[in-house]
Amino acid sequence: MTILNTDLYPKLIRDFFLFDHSVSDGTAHKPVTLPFAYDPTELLQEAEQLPYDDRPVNRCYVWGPTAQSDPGCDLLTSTDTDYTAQIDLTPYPKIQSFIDSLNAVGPITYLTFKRMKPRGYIMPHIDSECNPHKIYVPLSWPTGSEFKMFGQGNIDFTDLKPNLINTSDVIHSVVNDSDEHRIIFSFYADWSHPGWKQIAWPDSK
Amino acid sequence: MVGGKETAAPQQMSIISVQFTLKTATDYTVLLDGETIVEHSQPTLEFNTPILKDHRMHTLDIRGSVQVESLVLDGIDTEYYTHHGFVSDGARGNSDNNNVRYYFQTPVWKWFLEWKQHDNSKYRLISKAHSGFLPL
Repeated sequence: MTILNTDLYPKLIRDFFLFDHSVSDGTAHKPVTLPFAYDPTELLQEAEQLPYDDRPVNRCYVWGPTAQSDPGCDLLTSTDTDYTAQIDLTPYPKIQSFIDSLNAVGPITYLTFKRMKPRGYIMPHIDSECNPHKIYVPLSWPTGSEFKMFGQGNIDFTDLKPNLINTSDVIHSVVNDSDEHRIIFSFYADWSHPGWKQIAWPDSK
Repeated sequence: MVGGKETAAPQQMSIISVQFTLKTATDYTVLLDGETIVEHSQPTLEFNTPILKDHRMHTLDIRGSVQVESLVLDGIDTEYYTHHGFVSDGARGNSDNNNVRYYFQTPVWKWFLEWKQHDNSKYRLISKAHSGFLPL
């Protein structure tokens, strides 16, 4: 149960966070371990300088299909094979290095940073048209930030641990019930690649 | 929800507010679970329900020549669910010359998220794309 500190949130969010006492059965989200070292503080310093857009939750599209406009996510119907940086990453060497490390595991197909303002929220929704699986990597997660999935509990982002999340089959909602900005990034990968399969589903054969 | 304390205990009964706005309306009658609540003619109406059993299907009928623009149940805007009413010829929609019926359950937040999750599943979206609108 999460009691939000403000009544600024729509009632659907307030009720969802207050009354949905579900816990995860591991099918909709789980922590994952990336096979390389990185410093979230260094990434955060660069992430704070990215050129975000002016959406309610600011976004910065960093990696995706070559020579296309932003598809919004890694679409289920995508047949793309070539992926490149969508902004000049020269001023952001730590982010560039992180992306290089990801691609060394296997190709990643889409990556965005998201900055949520204090008391911000995302209404319950589902990303049906997107590749179901996405890894979220929090760079800041102030007390009061919650990522909740309908019937599947809250996602454990303590210690800024990355999580693999199924956002296309399960309704989810996010709040930042704090006085600080919250920055996270997420990426899709070619989950059929052996490197990513090993990270996402290590027990599968 | 005002049918009980907001505690972790399961809610068995609820009294909720119902608010709707009509784009066009002549005289109309509102029925809840088949019982007349009010007869009215103004485009916006808000009332509290009698005690409703949770997790049971309830019906809201707006009887008359109406076009429903918004439906807010228990303070929750049901968004495009307004277009998923049942009209008198059995089709789905928000406009009819005789009656528009909505089904819902309490707790509203849980029913609405379940409906929304189902309505937005990728399989249902594929069905919609190939077959047009499919009734639930």
